[in-house]
Amino acid sequence: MKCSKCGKKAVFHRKYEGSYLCRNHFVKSIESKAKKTIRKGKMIERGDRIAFALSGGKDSSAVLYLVNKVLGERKDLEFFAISIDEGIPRYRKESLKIAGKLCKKLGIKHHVFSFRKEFGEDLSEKVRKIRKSDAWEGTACTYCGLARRWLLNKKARELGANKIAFGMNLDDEIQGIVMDYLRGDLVRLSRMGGEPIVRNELFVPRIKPFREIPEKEIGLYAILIGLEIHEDECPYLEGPRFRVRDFLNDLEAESPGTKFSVLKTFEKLLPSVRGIVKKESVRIVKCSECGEPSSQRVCKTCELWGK
Amino acid sequence: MKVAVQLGNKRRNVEVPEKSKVRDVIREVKVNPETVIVRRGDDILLETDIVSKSDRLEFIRIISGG
Ligand code: SF4
Ligand SMILES: [Zn+2]
Ligand SMILES: [Zn+2]
Repeated sequence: MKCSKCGKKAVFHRKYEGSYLCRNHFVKSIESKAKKTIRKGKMIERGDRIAFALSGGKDSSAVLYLVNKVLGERKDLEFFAISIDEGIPRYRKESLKIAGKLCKKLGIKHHVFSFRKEFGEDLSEKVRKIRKSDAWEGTACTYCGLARRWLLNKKARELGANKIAFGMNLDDEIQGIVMDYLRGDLVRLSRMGGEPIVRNELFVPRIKPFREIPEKEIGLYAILIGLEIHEDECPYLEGPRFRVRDFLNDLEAESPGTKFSVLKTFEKLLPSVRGIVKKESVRIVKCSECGEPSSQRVCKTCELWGK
Repeated sequence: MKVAVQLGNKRRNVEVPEKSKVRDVIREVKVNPETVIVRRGDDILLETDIVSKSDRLEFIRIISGG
């Protein structure tokens, strides 16, 4: 098959658009899509100091690479990267190495913070301990995600960032949306829009330049621009989210465009969701233990990690 | 005919009829086409590309997590 734009050999068939793209046109299309998402959501503005949450996986590596490529020349913007070492044997070590190498190559300052240092224990120790006790709540991802968000927000803020950029792609976004539906969590759902939300001066607003690009396309982009990608899956990966992922992938394979439809429909509903949530709005206070923002007196991270 | 498939660090041979497409091999390997990119040497293949005897295909899993 030939590229619909130039006739060279196609590397991708974008079924939901009915187009074929060669290497060059594929890479360009991803970059222009991301730029459009950034512009539409007013994700990056004059004078921003942006912390990139960099795990070393394909999504976070690609978002750093891309934004740095298209906006790196702008003198008024400042970029740096933060990686979190949760202490997941083998898996994280490998991806952190990749993250470090990428930052070096791009000339981006790289900060690494670990659960061990900040919470006194690794995720692996925590999981081992807590699985045996009655206190076990949810999955490893509950403990991990919570603590990682807490740490990223705190460190990004302390390092002077006014935004945190994430590599979440379309698949991650719609998995999150569907999960919020399943749990009936309207408050979380109301924050799933495309623009950075200022909730409180202690929360650094988040941006997701890839939220409208399917995961597979980010994967191909990463391969084509020569990023080293780490293929392993986290050994703790579990929970309903991954069933939702498989379900959405099955539907997409059967009828291309399903993923976009989930996002677009959600965006139409979003103003109403926000209207409902406003009425029952949550107050944000400072956690009495750690001083970080929280909706309860003691934040969930302190509760689960005993900080 | 047989084609060799490398999936992660596992290698296996897949039996498909002559003139099969990448799509058929994907189906045979039982992975969702949304989660894999197929490469032959340096070439990225489309699901409709034809595979030939003794091709070596690399399946790159595209998954998130962590
Ligand atoms: S899959 Fe779960 S446990 Fe593993 S890094 Fe992600 S959130 Fe943490
Ligand atoms: Zn082209
Ligand atoms: Zn706290």
